[in-house]
Amino acid sequence: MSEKDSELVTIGKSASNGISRRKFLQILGASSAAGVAGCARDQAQKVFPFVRGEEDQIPGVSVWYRSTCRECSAGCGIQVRTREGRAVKIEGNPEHPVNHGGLCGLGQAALQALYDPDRVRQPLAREGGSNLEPQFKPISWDEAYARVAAALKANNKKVLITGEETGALDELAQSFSKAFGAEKISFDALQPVALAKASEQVYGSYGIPRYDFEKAQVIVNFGADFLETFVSPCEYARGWAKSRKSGNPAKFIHVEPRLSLTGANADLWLNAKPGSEASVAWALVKFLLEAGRGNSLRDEVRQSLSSLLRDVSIDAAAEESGISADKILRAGHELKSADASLVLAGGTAAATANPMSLQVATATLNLILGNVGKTVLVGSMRKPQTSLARFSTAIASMKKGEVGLVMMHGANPQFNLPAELGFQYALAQVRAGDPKGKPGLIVSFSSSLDESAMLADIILPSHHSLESWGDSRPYAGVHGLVQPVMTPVFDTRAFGDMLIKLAAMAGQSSVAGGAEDFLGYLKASWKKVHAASGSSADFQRFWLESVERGGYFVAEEGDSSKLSTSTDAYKPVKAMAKVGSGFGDQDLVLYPYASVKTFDGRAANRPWLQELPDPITSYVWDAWAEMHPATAAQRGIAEGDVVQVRNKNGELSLAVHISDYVHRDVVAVPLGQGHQAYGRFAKTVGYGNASAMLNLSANAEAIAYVGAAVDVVRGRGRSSLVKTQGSDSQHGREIARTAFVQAGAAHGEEHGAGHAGHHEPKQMYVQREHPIYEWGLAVDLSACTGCGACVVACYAENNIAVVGKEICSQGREMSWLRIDRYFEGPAEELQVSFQPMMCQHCHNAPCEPVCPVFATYHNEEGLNAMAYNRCVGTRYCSNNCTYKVRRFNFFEVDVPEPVSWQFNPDVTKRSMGVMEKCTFCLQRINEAKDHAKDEGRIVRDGEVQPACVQGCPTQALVFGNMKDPESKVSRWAESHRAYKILDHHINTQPAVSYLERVKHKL
Amino acid sequence: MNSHDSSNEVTYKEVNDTVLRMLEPPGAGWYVLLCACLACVGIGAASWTHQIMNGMGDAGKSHPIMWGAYITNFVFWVGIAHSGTLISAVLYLFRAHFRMSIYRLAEAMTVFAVLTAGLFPLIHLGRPWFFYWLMPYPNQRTLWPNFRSPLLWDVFAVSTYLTISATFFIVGLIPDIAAARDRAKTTFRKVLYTLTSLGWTGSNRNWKHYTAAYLFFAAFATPLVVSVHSVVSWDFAMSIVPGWHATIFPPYFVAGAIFSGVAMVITLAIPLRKAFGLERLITADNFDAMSKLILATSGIVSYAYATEFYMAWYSNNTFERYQFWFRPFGEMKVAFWGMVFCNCVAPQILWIKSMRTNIGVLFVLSLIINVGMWLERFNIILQSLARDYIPSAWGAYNFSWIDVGITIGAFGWFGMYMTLFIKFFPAVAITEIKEILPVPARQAGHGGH
Repeated sequence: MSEKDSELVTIGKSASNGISRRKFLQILGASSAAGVAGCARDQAQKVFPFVRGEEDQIPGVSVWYRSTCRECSAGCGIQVRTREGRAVKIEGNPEHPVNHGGLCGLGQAALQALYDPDRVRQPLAREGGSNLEPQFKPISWDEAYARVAAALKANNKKVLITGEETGALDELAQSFSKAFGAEKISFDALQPVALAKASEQVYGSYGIPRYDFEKAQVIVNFGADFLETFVSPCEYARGWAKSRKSGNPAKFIHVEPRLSLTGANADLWLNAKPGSEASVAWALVKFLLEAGRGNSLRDEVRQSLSSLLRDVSIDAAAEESGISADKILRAGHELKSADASLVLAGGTAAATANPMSLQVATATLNLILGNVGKTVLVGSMRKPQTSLARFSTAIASMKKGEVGLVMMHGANPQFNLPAELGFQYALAQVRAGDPKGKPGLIVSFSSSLDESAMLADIILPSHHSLESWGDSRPYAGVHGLVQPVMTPVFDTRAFGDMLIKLAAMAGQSSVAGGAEDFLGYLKASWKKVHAASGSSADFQRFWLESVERGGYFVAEEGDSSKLSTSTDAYKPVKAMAKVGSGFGDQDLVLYPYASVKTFDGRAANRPWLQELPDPITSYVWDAWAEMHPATAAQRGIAEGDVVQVRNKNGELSLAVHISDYVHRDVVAVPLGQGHQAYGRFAKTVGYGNASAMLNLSANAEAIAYVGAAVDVVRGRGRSSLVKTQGSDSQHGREIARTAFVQAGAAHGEEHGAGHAGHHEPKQMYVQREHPIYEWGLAVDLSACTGCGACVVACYAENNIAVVGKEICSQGREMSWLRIDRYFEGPAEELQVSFQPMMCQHCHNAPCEPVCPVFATYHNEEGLNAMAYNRCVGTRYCSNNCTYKVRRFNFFEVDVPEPVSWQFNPDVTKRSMGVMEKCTFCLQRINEAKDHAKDEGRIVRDGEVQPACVQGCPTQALVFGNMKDPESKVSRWAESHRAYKILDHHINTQPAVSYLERVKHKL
Repeated sequence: MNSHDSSNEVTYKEVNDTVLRMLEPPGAGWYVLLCACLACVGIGAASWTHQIMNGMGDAGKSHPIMWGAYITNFVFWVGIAHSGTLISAVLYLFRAHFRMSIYRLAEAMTVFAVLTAGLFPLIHLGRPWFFYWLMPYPNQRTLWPNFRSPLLWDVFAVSTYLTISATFFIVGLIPDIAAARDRAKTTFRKVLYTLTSLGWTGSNRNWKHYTAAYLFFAAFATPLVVSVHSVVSWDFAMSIVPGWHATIFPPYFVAGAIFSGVAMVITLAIPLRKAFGLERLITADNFDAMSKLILATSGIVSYAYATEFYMAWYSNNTFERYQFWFRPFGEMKVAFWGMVFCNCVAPQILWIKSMRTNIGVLFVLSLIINVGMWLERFNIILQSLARDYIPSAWGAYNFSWIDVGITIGAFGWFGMYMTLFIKFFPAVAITEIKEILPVPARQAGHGGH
């Protein structure tokens, strides 16, 4: 077992098939005694009741707190379920205008950051050790504050690095920096800064527009992974899905060098040479101008555009990008004839060394198509503060030894910045001190020991956002509130409180404007919100209502902004229209992509996300290098070979995944793996960090993720990438069905391949009766993006064991709900199907009659119930399960403290040797039934939402009572698109209906 | 039996001498064999202990292949157990004389094979300490097992079979034990045989009851030959897994069981015959007859294989068709082609008469068939589970050391019983062989009864 593997299995039980010879012999020798030893498994569990009752806390009753997700800058609303004072589940806030109740996997997995066993538990100070492997010793808060305050008082340059913050914390950090003359740097690796700048160039105002996917009839997307990490994935996925669910979904064309989850959901996926997207976009600009769109532009703009685009043509773009001219033309025609369309660019594909050309081209496309104000809302833009240029300047200054104090919070630049920038060297220079030799101080406010915190002299651990107050203003009209949902897990402090305390100690007590702590500061800041709201209630009431609701949201309205005079500023500049990738001659470029699993690396310490299969490759717990078959063959590389991907800035050692869905010129690697610190779940020795290998371009505003030339050479050995998916093809079995909108049929109700629509077959035997409830689930495949949020929700709700890479490699992952993903057709006409697969709760369940002890049986509510206590583990049920959704506890999995604090007390933890499976969240059904019984009624439609249904960002799932013909699930199940998997073959009568995916054939 | 070859006739005395000589104090070879068997049992016990402590994950099973080496072993040993009753009961009723020399061995093999097979459902349970929940016993929770589950039918089928075959075996032993008792030299053996021979005197009255009981048990056991393996086959046939759900399974399994059982009898009889000089009792003609039985059952089994493929094609069922494409061409194809070679191709040499009586060839062939029949069960169980309905859930099996250790343990367990048996009880039926010998002249007769 390699070192890398051994790191990954720490959460699971290491024993498995790989019993060492030594262990085997030991057991062999002691076999007679071993039977006795087997009895020692059950250890006494202690339960501590509250000695004194807490107010608002009734044991056994959940308390929900609303807050705002701080995992990325989208600012989704959340509601956190707490039991006996511990946060056990995060769900989306249904009233929040950004996400409307859904929440991505990253947001739901925030609990595992809160309960990360490797969090910093008290202030630490560096004491010896090497630069790379420092030793830290615990110090008191007083000492920590005193040392930082002393450094703040010193008269030298200071730098404060924060994440991308909005709201009061940002204001406080600004004010703090100003008071101490510190340079405040915001850093979030994935902020689309070029997009914000292009908005300034084209629309006249710096910022990230909001996109209304619902209204668009045609979407042309250059790499923006809006279903995964781009700007506000929950919000965008929801808008996109609304369009997909409607009868006539938007036509969606996606251009990028490597198939992303977003690309997999497109009607037409075009594989472009990296960096060539701009040429396609400009060719489309020219085509549309010539086709007569863009009449709203001023004449001189049109003329200058025409003259700039003289050399641009669709044929040239086709040659540049490797996409056939027909397809580009098709995109052009679709855009031309649509009333409302949407063009966007982002993600790794757009993060080239010269990102402005593509961004300006897409903004220009939106302008000439009249999308601005319709699908591109520029009136309420968030203005990202991240600026790599400013950061670079600060680093240069640090390198010169001019900086005496560096403070870091909410960002991990050491991991995310290209190594060429020399962040580590710069910090070493700070520590070495100024020319006079006075050593500087590096302070981290990080809550975990990430790579950047490891470089610090002092770590003042901050609260997790679930333990602190704060707010978030992702765009105008949305004021999300962050509130603590539980007492802090460890001896940490809120970052805002620390800033206020430090400022006071360093003699700048005015920083907080008189507030004694951050809550006071926040309230003061919200007084302005109160005043602006025009609310007639007094502030206290307004505040309490906002806390209860999770924030203050101005009613959503259309884009109020008119592009009045601002677009007059648009002057197409030659440099912008410069086409060509700029790195055409290089052999291979590195293509690190952010995904729902690891984001930019911040999510790597969440076991749920590590064990969530990658939506495209289906790999768990790993990093890999994706290569085109031709590229790999050229180098004699086969699937699974370990390769060295290297350039002058670094080296990755990864196993190769050969895929038809990457461009020949790229070697694609998931971003965010290869941590050298950041806790036991993230640390993967040996992979190497892709971010470190990226190029720097002069004055770049953001990291150029694509463009670093690399060599790929075969390394030694083969690696065991672990894939949870069996076959990538559904072998024509029509399990995940797709229907194509018929050409000419204007409205979706007419389309469909005709085989859908579930008709109950005649039955030979007396059928089961379900007197009051017959629970059913329906999944609209059109709306399912395959993001895996439901899977994470299921893990969180049902105490599903995370078993680690090795046990996954044996096919023993425990997920009750999996996303099956099928590829069909050649890469040029790729169709990808995602299908959430959970227990189908068949009314004629094959698993039930075969159980010799009645451990699984059908109940009168139509549930396929499972009595864990009765199960003896014959596993016959799993063999006979058509859908293979039953999971068997092959081992007892140890869960370290405090990760185990997250366990849902309403759900039994299953023991070794027992079968388990989806229950439709029986505990939630029972809770709703209890409520209903108290009120003397039956459960209302929508009152029960299993975790998957609740968490789905696109609301692709509905749950309810099939006995009620008016329930949403009944109506979905009656849809002409509805079908039940394999029911017509084997008459299992599943309670889960699927609605065919509807796509356009482009 | 060359009973009518008057030039070199086997006499009653020779039968007694030859058979009872087997019970004399063992030599070093026997102790080596017993120790080897015990060592294998030790490996099996250690493996199982490890599995109980650590979890079922020790074995190679995973999603979706939830039954693996253990159920393969179970079906294999139940199959082995079949020929014993077939030879002793069915052939008895048919008055097939070639059974006389080998039926005791076959019966012993049956009982011990059932004892071995019976372990596997326990070993294979996720929580073996609750095995008794599969029994219908009165309990305060008024919990009852699920009589619709083929696994429960298995419990009854196997336990019934064990009871009947053990009874039949013990009843048949009584006169021979009495013969051994009369010659026993040590006190231990005297006591043992006196107790187990149940006061047999060899009186006419004894014989009358004995033959009546024997006939009764033979008749009683005969349907079990068919039923037990049919019930075992229902574990598969009653499910909906493509490759399992087939009406041909019961006869197919019964034929396979006889096929493997006879092969196992040959595997055991040849070394026994050699070690104890039983050439004149277990004759080449007996092997010839068993070879014909092998040839016939090989034909039935091969036909069943062909039928499965034909039905998969004829049914036009996507899932069945894929399964039967997967077996010969998928990632476990070696097991499939190995099975075809061992069970269909190799036995064809028995069409040649000289091969049927060539002890060396038969011994090798019987081992090949045993391997082949193990592979058959492996193919049915694992290959079917590896490729069922939902392609995204397809998977593979990873053999583990525990699988291997427990399989070795099973052979050791079976071997241990056999080794002990041949030294403590007559492994060849004295009385029944005598029945087919010419009645000796008065003056020569001082036979056992």
